[in-house]
Amino acid sequence: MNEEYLVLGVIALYFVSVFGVGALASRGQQATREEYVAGNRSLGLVVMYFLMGGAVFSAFAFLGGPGWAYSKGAASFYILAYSALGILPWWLWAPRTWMAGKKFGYVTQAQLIRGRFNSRLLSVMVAIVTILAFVQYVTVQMKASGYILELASNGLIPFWAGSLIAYIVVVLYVFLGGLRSVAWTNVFQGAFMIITAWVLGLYFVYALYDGPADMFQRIAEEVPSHLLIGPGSSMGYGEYSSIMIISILGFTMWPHLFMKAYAARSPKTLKQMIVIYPTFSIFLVPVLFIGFAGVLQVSPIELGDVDRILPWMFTNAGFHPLAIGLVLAAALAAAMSTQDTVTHAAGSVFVEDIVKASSRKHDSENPESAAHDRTLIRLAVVLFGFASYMIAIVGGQTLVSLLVGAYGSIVQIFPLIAATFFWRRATAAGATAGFIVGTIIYYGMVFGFVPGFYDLHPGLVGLVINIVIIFVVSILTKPMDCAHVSQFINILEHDESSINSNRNHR
Amino acid sequence: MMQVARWLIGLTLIAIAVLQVFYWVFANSAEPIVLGLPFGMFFVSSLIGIEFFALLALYFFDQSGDDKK
Repeated sequence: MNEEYLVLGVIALYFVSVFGVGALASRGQQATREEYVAGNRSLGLVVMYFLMGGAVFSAFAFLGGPGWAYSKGAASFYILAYSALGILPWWLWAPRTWMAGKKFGYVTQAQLIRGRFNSRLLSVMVAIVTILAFVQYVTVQMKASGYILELASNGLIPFWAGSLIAYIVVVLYVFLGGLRSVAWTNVFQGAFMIITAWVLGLYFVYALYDGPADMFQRIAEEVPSHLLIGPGSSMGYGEYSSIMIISILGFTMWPHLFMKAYAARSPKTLKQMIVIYPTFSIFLVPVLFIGFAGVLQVSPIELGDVDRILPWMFTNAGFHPLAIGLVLAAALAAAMSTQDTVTHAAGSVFVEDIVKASSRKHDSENPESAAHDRTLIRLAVVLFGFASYMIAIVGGQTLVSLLVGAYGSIVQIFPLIAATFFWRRATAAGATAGFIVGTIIYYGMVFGFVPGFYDLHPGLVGLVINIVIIFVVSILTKPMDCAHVSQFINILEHDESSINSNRNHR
Repeated sequence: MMQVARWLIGLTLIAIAVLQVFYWVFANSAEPIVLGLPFGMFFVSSLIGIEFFALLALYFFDQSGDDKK
């Protein structure tokens, strides 16, 4: 009994620290939407790195990663590869998005799309699809924190209460400090997770085997198909490749990541962040070790749910309660550092792109309405949190399949962003038609109204059709005003002086 | 010159992406075990390492290109 209190004590201490960091970061902020949503466009390299990294180092990686390494083996390599490659398209979007934000005062992704295509309908649709995907995403993280606290307390804290406690902490600091609190808590949580992951991954490999080479040698001998993909393994070739493509193209389309481009100090900071970002994937290698180490230790039937492999491993390793507390706190950090940024983005998108888009008269530059915006976003944060919590305590899929599911709808935004900056001829009608059809096909396949296409990811099938339709419909409709479109296509050619004068003008 | 270098690095990054997406064509094997990793995992991780250096080079050329302007 005492042991559980020790474990819970460590976790409680962790909660207090995270909340403390979040609350500290919220001090002395201006009460504006640009501050609350985009940190006043002033974040530096280190904060940006952890802000974006916290999203990859989510419960998906920390619990889902070992779960995949354990149950699907080689298929889990995709987690390493996509998290390093997914950031690449940002080299193209991020500096342009930053400029557009500075020039037109945007703070969300849908505002950019609305600006380029002059279409309120399109941006509202993007915002709705976004929020649906966010709910799935946050649900994944909530389930993880529920498992963790249930385990830490040996069942004393039931699943529903565990998810709730962790989420209340998140909503509290997001409520208080907006993006700045999200960013600084992510720095703290990110560093904590990385250290724990390495210590733990290497510990298991050396405690249970004679190092990684011995471990993989034995897996290769005893379960040969585990380190392969393709027929006879847990994942087909087409499935692996299409999930990779969807994840690489979709990664920066996630609106909570995309909108971080507005928060950086300068385009240079964004580029530096992209350069060092692949290091996060290397940090994930020992996370997979944890799952591989479990392959020869416990059968999936005995384990029940594959996402419980990490907790199973250390509860059976005879760790000291303090160590168990630290590991569980790190796993919570993974879940919470994703929850906070998604919840923050969901609140912002809901207010900026849905509520405000429906009221024509709105002056964001007026200090009074800027403060009013912040209040609205705070309210939306709490509402979104409550709604996704209700969904989390009902659902039942594994962590990764939930997330891969959400990617399929988000990747449909890809052609819109590409066209925003790179294809002059794209029209609002084309973009709208492509997005609607792509999204419907994707959801249709997921829910079984539309037949699947071999073992390809439904999101990829939707994406291909989406691109074809944007192309055909745009060509058939009247081109958009050239001067208007040039503002986006040639955005990097506008020099600093024009931006400054534009800003003063506002 | 800088422009050519940037294009070359861009193509390298695309090539890395293609290799990763179709990693199973080249490295769908547990043997040999290199640096403690099964060959497939070693292949995927090495490409991430190469990607990092390619990005570093891209940043370098990008900045020196900007300064000239």
